[in-house]
Amino acid sequence: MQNVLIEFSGRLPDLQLKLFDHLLYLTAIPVVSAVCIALPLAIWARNHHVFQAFALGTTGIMQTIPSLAMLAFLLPFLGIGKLPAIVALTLYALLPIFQNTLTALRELPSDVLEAADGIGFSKHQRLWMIDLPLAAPVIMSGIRTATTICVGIATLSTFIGAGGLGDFINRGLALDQMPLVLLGAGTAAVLALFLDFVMETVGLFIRPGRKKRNLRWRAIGSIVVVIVLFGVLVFPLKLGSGVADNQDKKVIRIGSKNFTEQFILGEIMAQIIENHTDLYVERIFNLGGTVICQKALENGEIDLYPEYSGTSLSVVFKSELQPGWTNKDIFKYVKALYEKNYGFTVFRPFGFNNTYRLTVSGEKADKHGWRTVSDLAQVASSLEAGFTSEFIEREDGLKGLAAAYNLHFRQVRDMSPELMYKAVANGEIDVICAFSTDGRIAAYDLRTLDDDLQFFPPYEAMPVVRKELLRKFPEVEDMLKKLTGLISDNAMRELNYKVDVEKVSPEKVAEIFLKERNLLMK
Amino acid sequence: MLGFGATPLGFIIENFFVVLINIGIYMLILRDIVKVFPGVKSPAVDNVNLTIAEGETVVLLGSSGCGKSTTLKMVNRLIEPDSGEILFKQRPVKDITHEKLRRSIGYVIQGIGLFPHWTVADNIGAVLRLEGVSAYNRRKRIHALLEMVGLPEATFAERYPEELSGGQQQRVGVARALAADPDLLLMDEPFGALDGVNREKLQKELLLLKHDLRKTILFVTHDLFEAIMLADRIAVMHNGRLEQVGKAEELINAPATPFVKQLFEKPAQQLALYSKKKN
Repeated sequence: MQNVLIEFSGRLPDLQLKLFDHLLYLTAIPVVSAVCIALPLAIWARNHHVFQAFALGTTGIMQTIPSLAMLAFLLPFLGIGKLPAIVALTLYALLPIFQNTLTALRELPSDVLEAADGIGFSKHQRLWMIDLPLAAPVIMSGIRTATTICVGIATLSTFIGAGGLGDFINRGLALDQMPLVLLGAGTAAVLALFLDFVMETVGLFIRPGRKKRNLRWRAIGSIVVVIVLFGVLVFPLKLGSGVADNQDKKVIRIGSKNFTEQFILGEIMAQIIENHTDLYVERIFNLGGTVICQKALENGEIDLYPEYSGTSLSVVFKSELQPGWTNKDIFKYVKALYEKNYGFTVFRPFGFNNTYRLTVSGEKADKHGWRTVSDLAQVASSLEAGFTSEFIEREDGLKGLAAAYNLHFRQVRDMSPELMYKAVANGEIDVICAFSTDGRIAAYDLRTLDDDLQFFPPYEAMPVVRKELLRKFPEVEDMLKKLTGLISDNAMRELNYKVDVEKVSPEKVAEIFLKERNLLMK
Repeated sequence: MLGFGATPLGFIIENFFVVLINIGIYMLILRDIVKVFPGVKSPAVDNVNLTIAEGETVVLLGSSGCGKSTTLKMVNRLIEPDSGEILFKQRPVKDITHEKLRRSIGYVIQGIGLFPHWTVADNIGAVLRLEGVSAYNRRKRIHALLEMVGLPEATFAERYPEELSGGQQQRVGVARALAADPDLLLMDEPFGALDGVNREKLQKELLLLKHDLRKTILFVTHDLFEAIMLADRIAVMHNGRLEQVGKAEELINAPATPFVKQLFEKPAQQLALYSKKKN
């Protein structure tokens, strides 16, 4: 318990910063923008029935686009960071505000409007003195809904590096650290409740008619909440001046995807560069996938990130593995394409290959002398396998593998990754499909089998770098070259193990590793 | 007529005055008014001609859908006629802007339509506020109007409409319509939603007000007795047409059309029956 508290207190400055981003950039700005768009639009649409149907349809469709897909759509136009997140969240906030405003205006009591017209309000006067004040409570509840939606969806914008509380959630999920997930999700939930409470109170106050008398405690509560949130908004600005100093320094930006191995590789690159040069590294970790990293690199929003050769081949360049290609062939192929198409360069791989590996328990491997997939194929008809459903379906998974090795198991079961590792360790099943650098291979004393026919494409991790960066800071090249071939499959597995199983932070793991290899100067 | 008629000069002078007075005394003239709503075959208002003198109360009487409300709403241009002309104080209403026209004509409707987010005082002062009357003068006028409709200022000025009974609300509605001291009042079934007791009370009060204030009133109702009680002249409408205009006795004694005859027959019979019983 004490550890958890210490852990949390250590994260307070970070929490404040993320909350600031979440509240200002990912909630307040999108909601205010949506109000500025939806309100005039709804007022105008009120008397334009064709447009009404069109606008309701459009905003409705926008609402049904999954958040991640929306962010992905915006990626080519707006890149990563806060701007695309603000745009996406604004689009989400539009519907409830537009819909509520339109409904409220359309359902105003007709007697009141007739009276207002009949005694000589001009259109303008009626709108401001009668229509909007009467519609205000319903409009306000639309804004409330929009705010709650924003606070929630904003947690997903972490995938495009927009910051906010989602960073904790995503990191916690990637590192399998529940307290971190709770920190992010809990704070977001509390924030949503607070904002909702304040806005509900405002809504009660602007209700037409007699002022309700028992609103005093609500009002006081709301003011306290506003002051607290305002405090959160203002304090980091002071801390922010510290960040501003960094602008004088020479900054490079390192990206990473959102899982353990990527964090560790990102940290290793960042620390060796910071240690040996006077460069300051901004860490833009946690990006939600290959396409996002690639776009960020194209837009210059990051300068480099670790990528896998097989992924570059299939995802970035949409090519297929040619028969007979060695790891080197693939490396040369993607390197040439990166240089030709994007002006990036690729450094030699870190040394490990994070691919699918058929994996068995160490005990059985020793007992039966299994070393390769071919060894296994001979006895497969008596074995039971547990694979992830993705592996079973993929052409470069079980389907292709079975054909290449003439491999047929007695039974194949669909399993979640979590269960799979434990089940094979307990001897409940005989063989699983593991990622070759997964920390749990070491944790459960499992043995990976060599892919002796080289069926699985190689996924060698390597730094992909913008050439511009090397022109500006040539010293980065030497640093990245120091990492070539440094990390074996086993070493990477151990590093992942320390983070995933022993819950050491990626920063610390990277630091220890570099020190052991004498790559950090005091 | 005025006593000059005995001499030729007197005749000329008399006719001059008659002409002058005739121009002056017509508050409202409706000429050949036609209104057809889109998608409806028969016209809602079919060639209506009506003149209302200054200080006169004319009641448009008819069943629902006969075009009486539509006729009323064309006076303050909530509805525009397809053809015909409406003169308000000798000026075609279509030459007057909506806002200016409506602020100079009081308007009271069945639904009352008080502004629920404004106090009674604010509701009554609405037109004055639109006209830019100072807060001080507004206050004075609101005070007078509240007294006039029998709602003590101290008790009612700061209340909200939802805190009032239906009868009280319509008193505020009437006060609101009178705020800018308009010469003409349009009343569209103003007491239709009230219970019998309250309706009668307000009808009586309206008679008193009418007497004191000398307002011209165009009043719409489907209630025969209300019409007889309030009207100087009754204009009976049926299917968009004006059937007959005249004093209540004229309509009862000399109905011009079968509809008017039928309309007044039954109450007359009932009345006769009632008096027979009494005797």
